[in-house]
Order: sequence, then structure tokens, then C-alpha cells
Amino acid sequence: MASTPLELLIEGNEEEIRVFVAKALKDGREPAAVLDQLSDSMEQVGAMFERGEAFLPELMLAGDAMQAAVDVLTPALAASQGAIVSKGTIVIGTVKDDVHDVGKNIVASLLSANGFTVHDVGRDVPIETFVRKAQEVQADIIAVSTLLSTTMDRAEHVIAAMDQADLPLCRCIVGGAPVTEQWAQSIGAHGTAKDAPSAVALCERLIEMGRLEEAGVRPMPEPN
Amino acid sequence: MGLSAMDDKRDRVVEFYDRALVGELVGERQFDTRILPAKLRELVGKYEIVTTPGEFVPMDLDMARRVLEAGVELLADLGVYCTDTERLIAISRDEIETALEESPESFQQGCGAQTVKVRARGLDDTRAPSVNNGSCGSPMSEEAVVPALASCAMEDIDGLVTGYLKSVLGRQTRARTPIEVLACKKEVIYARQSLEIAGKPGLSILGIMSGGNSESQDACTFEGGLRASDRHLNVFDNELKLSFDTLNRVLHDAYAGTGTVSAIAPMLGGYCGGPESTAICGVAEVLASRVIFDNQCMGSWVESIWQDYASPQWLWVAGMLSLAFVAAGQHLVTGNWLGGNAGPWTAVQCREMAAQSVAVIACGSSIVHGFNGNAGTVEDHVTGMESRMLVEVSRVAAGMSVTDANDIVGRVLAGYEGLCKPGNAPFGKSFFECYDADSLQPKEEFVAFWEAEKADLRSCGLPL
Repeated sequence: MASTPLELLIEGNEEEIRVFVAKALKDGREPAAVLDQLSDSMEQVGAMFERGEAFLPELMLAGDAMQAAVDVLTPALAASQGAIVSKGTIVIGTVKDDVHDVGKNIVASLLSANGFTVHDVGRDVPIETFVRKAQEVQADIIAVSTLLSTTMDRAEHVIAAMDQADLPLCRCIVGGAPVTEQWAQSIGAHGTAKDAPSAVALCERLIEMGRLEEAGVRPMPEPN
Repeated sequence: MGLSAMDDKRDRVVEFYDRALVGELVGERQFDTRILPAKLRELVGKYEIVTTPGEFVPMDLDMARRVLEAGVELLADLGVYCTDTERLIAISRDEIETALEESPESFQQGCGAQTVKVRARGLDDTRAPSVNNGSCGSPMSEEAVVPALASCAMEDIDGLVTGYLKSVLGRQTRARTPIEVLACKKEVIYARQSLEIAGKPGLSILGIMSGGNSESQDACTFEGGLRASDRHLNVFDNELKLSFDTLNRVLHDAYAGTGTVSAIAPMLGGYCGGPESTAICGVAEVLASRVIFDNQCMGSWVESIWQDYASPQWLWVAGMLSLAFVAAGQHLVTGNWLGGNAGPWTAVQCREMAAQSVAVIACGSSIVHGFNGNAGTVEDHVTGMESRMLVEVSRVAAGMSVTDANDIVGRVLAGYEGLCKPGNAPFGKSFFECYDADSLQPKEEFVAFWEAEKADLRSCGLPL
């Protein structure tokens, strides 16, 4: 019996998911409908991770497989006047002099599973790389990870560099074991989150606030 | 350390360095997401490693022995991943078995009147484990560090574990700066001062927490710095990974004559997956650190992406990292780092500490390397009373069977499961809120609080 998209994503089976998409298109299915099915499956992977039914490797592999599927789907979507609707574009990385990336990888994978376009610039990342990448991909958010207390100041420098660069609509969130809400506020970050699911919710909120601001609507403050 | 031991360490470092240059080339993402998880899944099935829902302490001794076998097979089949060369460092089954056979049954830490012999414990062992404690990696201010550590050293601990100095001379500790190097030196100097105040100058110091790389870490070895009787951390990276930076540190320690301790931290929910595979991977990491670092003193911390440090799965893995060796009759001196989400002077912290201590000590852990409150994130939330509690609980946990321990842990945590979770756990109080800074004595209300908590823990079956 053929595997479902969910199974193929969990396995990280890039080859078979490309075959699945190609066959679906050949069978005459609407590209947008195929994308919806894949996106739903990806969200299920994220939900399984949050429930402890799937772990980090499955989450990361699913992200890779989803990208492989989207690569096959994109020309068909364009031909049908459709487009992949992303919730927002995120540049994420771990700061210079910090090689810890497990937490960053979890957040990146969960954002991807929830419909964001994620550009992971890796670990031990210089400040200018965050900013340059954000400019290149017109990022909505830069997500900065720091596990070490001794490298927290790098996040502050990223925000300063964003101010100097031409990134007026881009927001910055910070995360990592030593990061507190109070510290995030003190350096001018737009928020922090205690875990990966909260980081997804924070990004969704910030993107929505950004859209409202662009539309000239003053966002309502978050209820306490 | 004698010349031959120094040469032996040097030869080991060079040998594994050489292997890191010629091993199989593998992308790191491939290792993290495909190779390691697939091998772990295979081993969990092959060795029939299963957790029982609601079981806090592993009780199946035959399965514990199989976890060790699976850990040996994992390390012998995969080796260790070198993050610098992106190659696998091969380790043979013979090397693993030899390292286990040559593990000392005991070693000494501390010096003078504070010399302590740390012995490998067994099942149902009535001998209490050695207990180290202190600020255990938590952020400390220069104002609080000496009195807080002195208050810990005044308790009946066997070694002092340092914390991270948040600033030095009024300057924030920043990576790869002179202030980071200075923080590593001052961390030892302040610990030494606190031992003098406590009247225990020979007590072993375990650190260093203020530096994130070998160049700052190596700054702790100076005249008056870490000694042979102290313990410098040699850290394995998640999962089954080694960097040249760590090998640099091992080599430097060997030539400086500094005592060392292996530190491994398998992560639940991360690349290891669930508790069964995390236990196997953790055992493999203990074995790898024994083979590569040749350390006498081992230490395991279980990291968790859910920060669920009082959950059945966390406690099961923490216990298994000792039980796997003890049940197989190995005489490795296993150790555990403990820690929870709550802070000082809270009932939740008492429960987290009691549950974790009972679980790992019943599983045969030989040395507790300290209990870290507030998940190590809140400044100056460290007091000597946590050391008092840890010592008292550890003593009564000795001799407990894994079955009894499982029952007691269940009772200790009943009603506290939700409160132990991050976001719910109370922050507690700072050192200055808990202690008289001049006399270095806990406030009477704090002492009374612990006495009341002890009464509650007695009702859970802990004979405090």
C-alpha cells in the first residue's frame, strides 16, 4: 500500500514524496489542493512533535522532505496562477562563538512545519550574516539563538545592526536558556519564547501585528 | 599526575585526533537526523528496551544490562562524530571493554583534611554516595558568589561546584574577551576564598562554568587555580559528538595536572528521541568519555527539550545511566548532575531534589555532582540550605531498593507534577533573602521550612 504524505514526511523520504507530488499532478489534481494536503501533513508532524510522539530528527527530516515536495510543486503552482502562501519569512541562527544549535534547530523545524519560510544560517554566525540574509530574503523576523550567557550580547549587536541596516519592517526575537523576558525587552527585542511552540505563536503574532501596522491599523495590546 | 599518566593522556588525545582526520566523512545533519536515530531505533528493538508508563525508577535489572550492551554496540558501530572534521572517530569494542575493565573502583578528591574517597556503589548499597554541591553553573554576581559558596561549603558536602560569574569588575562576562578569561580565573579564586571562610581549604572544587571555549577554560590552571584534587569539566557535545576544543582542554588538563570529570548530557526529545534511546545514547556517551578522556570520575546530566526534570521519563533515564553499569556488575564510578525548575525555599524544589536524588542513588549512582535550581537561569538563587537538603536526602536514599525508590518517588511527586513544569515552578528566593550575609547562617524561618518539608517527605516514606 502506498505511503501517505504524512508517513513520507516523517520518514524524510524525499525521493518518494517527489514521486507522490508528480503522480498527483499527473492524475490531474489541482496543485493548490496537493499543497494543502502536504501543508496539513506538515502541521500534523509539528503537532506530533509537541505531543512527544515525534522527535527532533523526524521534525527536521520532515522539513527537508517538504522542501523537496515544494520544489516539484512550484512550477505547477505558477502555471496555474497559484502561489505558495507563506505565513512569513524568518532568518534564524545561533550567534557568533556559540556552537549550540539543538534549540535553534527545533524552533526552525517547527516554524517550517507551521507554514513559515525559514532560512537557517546555522551556528556561530557573525552579526552581519543575520542582517545580510534578512535583507536578501526580505525577512519579516530575525530569530537569534544564544545558549551561552557569555554570548547573549551578540543578540543586542544584531538588533543594533538591524537598526543601521535598511530593515524597517523586520522584527527580532531572541531565545535560549539564559534569555528572560526582561532581558529581551531591555535590548529592544520584539519578544522571546520559553519553548519552540511558543516561538511559533510569537512569530504568528508579530507577523499579524506587522500586517496590521502596514495596513495602518493600530494593533490591540495582548491581553495579560 | 605522574609523567606516565600525562604521556598516556597525551597519547590518547593524539590517537583520537588522528582518527578524526581519517574516519568516514559524514555530513553533520546526516549524522543527527538519519544515522544516529536509525541506529538507536534498531538497538531499542533488538535489545527490547521499553519503559513502563508511570515508572519513575528503572526496576528491570535484566533490561538495564541490555541497555549497557546496546550502548556498547552503538559506540562500537558508529564511533563518535568529530564536529571539526565531520568524520566519525572509530572506537573498537575491545577499547570499550578495556576501558570498563580498567575503570578504578574508587578515587580521591579534595586534599588534606577534606580528602574524600569516592567509591563505586552497587545495588542496595547502604553506603551513601559522595555529594558535591554549590552554585552548579547558575549565574552568580560578584557580590553573592563568595558568601553563597561559603554557605554551601559549611554544609557536609564532599566537593564544591562553582557557578557562572555573570560579571567581573563590573563588566559583563562576554565570550572570547579578556573578561571571560578573567571570569574563569576569578571563579576559582572566589571558590577558594569561600572554602577558606568555611574552614575547609582542601575541599575539591568542580568547575569551570564561566567560559565557553578551551582558551578561557584553560585559564583556570594557574598557581592557586584548579589542582589535581579538583575537577575540571571535560564535556561531550550532543549527541555523541566531540570537538577539537574539548580535546585541547583534555590535553591542557593533563599537562597542568588538573583533576577532571567527564560531563555528558543526552537530550530527551532531541536527536536521541524518547527515553529508551536516550538512555542507550547516554550510556554510549559515558563509555566514549571513559575511552577518550580516561577520566576516573563520570557525570551525567539528562537534558530535555521539555525541561520536564521531574517526569517519569526524565527520572527513568537519569537512573538508567547508573543502573546500566551497576546491574551489569561494572565498577565504574558513575555520577549524576541533578536540577529542577523551582528555586530555593520552595516546596517544589524540595520535591524535585528528593525525587531525583532517590531515583539515581537507588540506581547505584556513586556521586551526586550537585543540584541546580531554577534550571540554572536565575542569578544568585543558590544557598547552603540546598546542600544541607541534598546531603540529608542522599544519606537516607542509600540502601533503598529500586522498587522501594519507585514507590517513594511516586509519593514525593504526587500533586506536584504540574508545579514542577517550567513556567509553573516558583522562582523561590535569592541568597540574600534566605541568609544572613554576615553570619552566613540561614534565616530561622528557612530552617523551620525545611524541617516542615522533612516531615512531609517522611510521610512519603523517606526516613529523614
